[in-house]
Amino acid sequence: MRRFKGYNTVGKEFGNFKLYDIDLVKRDLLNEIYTRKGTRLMSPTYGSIVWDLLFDPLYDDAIEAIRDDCLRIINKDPRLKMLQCNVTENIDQQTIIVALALIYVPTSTTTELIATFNRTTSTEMLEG
Amino acid sequence: MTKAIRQENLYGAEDWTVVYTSFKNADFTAYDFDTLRQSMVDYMQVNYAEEYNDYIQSSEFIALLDLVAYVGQNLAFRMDLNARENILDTAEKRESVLRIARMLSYKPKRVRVAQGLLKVTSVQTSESILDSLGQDLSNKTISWGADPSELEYERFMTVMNSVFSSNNPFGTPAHRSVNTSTGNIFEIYKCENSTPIINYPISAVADGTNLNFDIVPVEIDTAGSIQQPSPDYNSSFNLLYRNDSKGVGSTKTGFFVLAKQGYTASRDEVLISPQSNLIIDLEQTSSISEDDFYVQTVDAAGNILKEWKRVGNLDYTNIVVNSYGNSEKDCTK
Repeated sequence: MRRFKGYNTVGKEFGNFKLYDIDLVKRDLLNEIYTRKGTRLMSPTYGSIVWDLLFDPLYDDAIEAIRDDCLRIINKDPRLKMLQCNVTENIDQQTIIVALALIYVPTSTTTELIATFNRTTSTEMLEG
Repeated sequence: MTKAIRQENLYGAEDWTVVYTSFKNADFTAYDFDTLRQSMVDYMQVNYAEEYNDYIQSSEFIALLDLVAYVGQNLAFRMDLNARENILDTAEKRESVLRIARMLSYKPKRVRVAQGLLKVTSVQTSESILDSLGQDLSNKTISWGADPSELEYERFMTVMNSVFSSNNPFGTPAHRSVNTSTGNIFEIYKCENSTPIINYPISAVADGTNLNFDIVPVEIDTAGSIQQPSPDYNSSFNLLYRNDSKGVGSTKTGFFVLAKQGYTASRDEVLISPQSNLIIDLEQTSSISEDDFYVQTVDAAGNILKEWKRVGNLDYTNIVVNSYGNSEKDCTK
């Protein structure tokens, strides 16, 4: 039985826009992570700081800031818990990669989520 | 479905149920972003509980609801703003206030400037004038009422007479009026202008603020009221003499000039041919006083050919003038 029922158009042009349960929860999480902080209507604290750090050198303090921000975002959703957060960069592709290990609380399922932020295009690329 | 049946359904059978349902579900207290958003979420939760339950802020559908709520808030704000303009207590636009006032048969006036009579307390001349003792009065300050002797009074009048037109010495005013209730005498004396002038600009501090004033000519109209004549460079500059029969020491006895707040400005407009509903924009229109504006037809040399008259208030934000006498119909052609 489906517990969470939602709606998503990302990556879809036609057909069924419905999304359920863990796929829906992960999609919701990506929605916020891929939103630049301060750009959401009437919600200045909504979104992620990664886009603002995209052109900074990826030192330890920047990695820590991204981790804290991801934890803050994940903690807003009671359906998820963060196990691990790895922040790396692919210099050749000018990309920051945030790999998240998560627990989907309703079923205690472990899952992974990878968010990719590209410096060249500044547009999100979805994986996983 | 035929057109007639469809209309019957719309206006008779279906319409009231649709309206009733809509009003029953509408939250009329939702005006701002938060309440509009909440009312839409409530509506979703009641009507689409089986299809949707992802009400977290990061949901895409909630982002769309946010957008609709934001648009709703903007529309509500503008509607509220316009509604406030319909009530005199809350209207803020000048145009709205004037329209409401007109509905209440109130005729708004433009600004009225501060004005008053200034008394000439002392005079000094560079001209060589001799008093009855043969003493030269040039470059001497002669004060009004400072010395009770007749000599000082005579000297003051001698200087004033040198200013007045030769056929208009003190005692032979250009115009005279007596207030029948107080007995006060008002006389107009014309000056012999060496150069054409219609005003003397001065500045004065009033309540800590430095303000511009104009000293302007004064005249007494047919009703006995003191007022400023129409500016005319070919006319003489007039002074007022007033006597309340209480001697020269009285504050209301002596020579006076008319002072008005602001400054006199003029602008020439060339009208080659008559034009209907012509509107001429003036700078600082809102600061032009209710009474102190003059429209004249002048020739190339600046001589006044015609004085225009004010037309009744058609639009309270503007001054409408015309010359509408039988002999002045060129302006209404």
